[in-house]
Amino acid sequence: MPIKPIINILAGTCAVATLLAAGPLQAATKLSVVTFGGAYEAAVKSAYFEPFTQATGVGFNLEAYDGGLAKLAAMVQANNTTWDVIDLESNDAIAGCDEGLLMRIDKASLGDTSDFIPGSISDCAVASMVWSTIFAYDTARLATAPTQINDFFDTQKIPGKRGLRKSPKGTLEWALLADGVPKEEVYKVLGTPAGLDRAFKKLDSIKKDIIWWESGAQAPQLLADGAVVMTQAYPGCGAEGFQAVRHCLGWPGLRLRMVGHPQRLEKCQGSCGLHRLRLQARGDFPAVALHRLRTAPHQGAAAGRAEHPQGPAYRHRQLR
Amino acid sequence: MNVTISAPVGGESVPAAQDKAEQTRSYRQAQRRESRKALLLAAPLLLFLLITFITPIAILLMRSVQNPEVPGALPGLTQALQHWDEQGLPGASTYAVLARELEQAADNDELGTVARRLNFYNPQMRSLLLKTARKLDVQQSDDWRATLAGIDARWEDPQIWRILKRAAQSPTPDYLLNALDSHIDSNGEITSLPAEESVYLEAFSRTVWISASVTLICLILAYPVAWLLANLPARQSNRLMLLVIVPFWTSLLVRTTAWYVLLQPNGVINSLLSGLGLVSQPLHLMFNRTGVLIGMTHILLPFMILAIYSVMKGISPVYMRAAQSLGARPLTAFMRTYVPQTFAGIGAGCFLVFVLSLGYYITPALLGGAGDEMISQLISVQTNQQLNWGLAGALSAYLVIFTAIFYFIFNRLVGIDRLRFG
Repeated sequence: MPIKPIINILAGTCAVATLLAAGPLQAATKLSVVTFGGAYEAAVKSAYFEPFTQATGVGFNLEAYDGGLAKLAAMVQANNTTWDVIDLESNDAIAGCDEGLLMRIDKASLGDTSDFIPGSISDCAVASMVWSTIFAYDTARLATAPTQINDFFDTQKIPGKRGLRKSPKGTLEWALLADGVPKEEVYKVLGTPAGLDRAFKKLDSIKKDIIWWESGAQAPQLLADGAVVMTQAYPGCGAEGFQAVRHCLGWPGLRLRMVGHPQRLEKCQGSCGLHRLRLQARGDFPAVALHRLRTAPHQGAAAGRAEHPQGPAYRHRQLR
Repeated sequence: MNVTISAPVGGESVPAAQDKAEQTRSYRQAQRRESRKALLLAAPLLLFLLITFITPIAILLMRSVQNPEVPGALPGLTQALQHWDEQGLPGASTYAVLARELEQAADNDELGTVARRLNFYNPQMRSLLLKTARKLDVQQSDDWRATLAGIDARWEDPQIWRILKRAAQSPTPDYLLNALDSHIDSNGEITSLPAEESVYLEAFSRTVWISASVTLICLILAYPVAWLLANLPARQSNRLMLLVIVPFWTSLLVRTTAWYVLLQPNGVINSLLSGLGLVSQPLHLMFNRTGVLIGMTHILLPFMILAIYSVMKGISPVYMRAAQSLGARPLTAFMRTYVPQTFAGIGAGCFLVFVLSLGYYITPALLGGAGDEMISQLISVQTNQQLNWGLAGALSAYLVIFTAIFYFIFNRLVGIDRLRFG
């Protein structure tokens, strides 16, 4: 069955500025927004959604998911798409666009985009945040502090289980970095079959100590449970997640620290590694979101700024 | 005397037979009416099952042989490739058709679907197709072969064309072969993938192995409990039964999460053990096979207990007494008179537990580690992450077939009508 592009059903999103100027939309309207949930959802809620609701009266139905295109593809095939805006990883945004699952953006409606990071606007998506992948450990549990990515792969120096996201993204890059590939050449090496084999071989060396997690909230949980001594994590979710874990579990003594080095992996240069806000039903919401990205401070999104100077705040400053 | 009696009987026999036939007919009619009524009563359920259960499963299984992407989006190319003999490169007209249809597909937003399908064959296909389509947008040409080769030299590689031809065939055996770690190579022969790329056969055997282990552990644990339940006085037996039934009624997810809390390194069990000084290092009880077996056994145990108990309940104690009074020692009497009578329950319990284990998903996902992925988890990866619903359908088909074969064998050995509870 051919996949029906949503663009047919939901035409007319280019009236962004007009709609905004026209004042609040009907209060009854609600946009269905899908994000990655957890601390991240809380952040975007206070940074984008609530101000938008205040300005326009349009409310939100928030839904969380773990990424991937499966559910969206199923909805489009069934011709019953209930989502309006969706958070996607960049590769999914590109694939979803190619497959006609996402609606194309009228780039002119975005206004002046000269201060955007290069590559942050694609045919169907606009980058809403830049992220990197870090690893975190429990300071109370480790005698030797890991300081660089090699330590993550060194089970001699620091024994114990390691948490990794069940995805090749980031993980393969780390394996190559730890295997001595210079940062600039990671993607060149990874682009060859031999490079892939090399990355997997490095991963094999710690295979029995890896615990794979799938959703972002699992990473801090694994650390707090003591199931791993260190884990890959999302910095944003991690930062708040760690706080949340401390609060929820009532373990103020639990001290977690993020290791900054792999953060500089620069997955976030160009278009790779950008989270994208997908605009699907209504152009007005992403426009406001973008507007805020460029002009307003992000109290919510920048949580954890004080603790991690290179954390989310820094990255959002780039976007503004 | 006999003769005189037999004569009237013989005389009456014809109308009696007619009568009987009449009776049989009306009885059958009544029976048919009854069964029609019964069918009508069951119709809503049957309809519900058909719509929500049988049809979706059939559609999913059908996906394992369907290959609609390329024929749907590139119909002309599909036809052109059917006449190509796979020797050398296809003719110039095929190149022209490809160029035209690639552009059309890109305009109709169908190219992504085609690219995804082809990428399952070879991971460079997606970039090749998208790159070509992008560049074709602005090109006019008389010699499409040269133009396409100019965009990317891979268009002069017969291998790429063979992949296109394979993808243009529907129905296709490819998904079913991939699910068994094999594929059709460039010579048209079925070959197995190298060991480091094989995933599914091992996952199938692992699934069977885990299921069999869980079944065995359940049997060993359940048998004494069932015996106790069947032989205790009613009051105590009912109380004990409650302990079996309450977990049975509790949600699977809740119980799995409870094991998560119990088994983790800082969890209840490890704290208890280290508190008692029994272990110095926390035991690794989860994210490995141990965790999977503990979790699954606990969740499936009630099925085994109830199946065996229902049979034991009906065994009269007189057989044991008889055996003992005839000189058998208690153990011999138990093994030779009691145990054989419970075989039906054991069979039913093992069948239930084994079949339920085969499809387990949540428990191994939460409590298992890297080496404990069961086939359902891989099906879920293909469905949700890779969007390879054909392969997911093929894997599911094998799981269904295996379960059906197992059901058939079980039915022959034990008889499915013996399945009952309490």
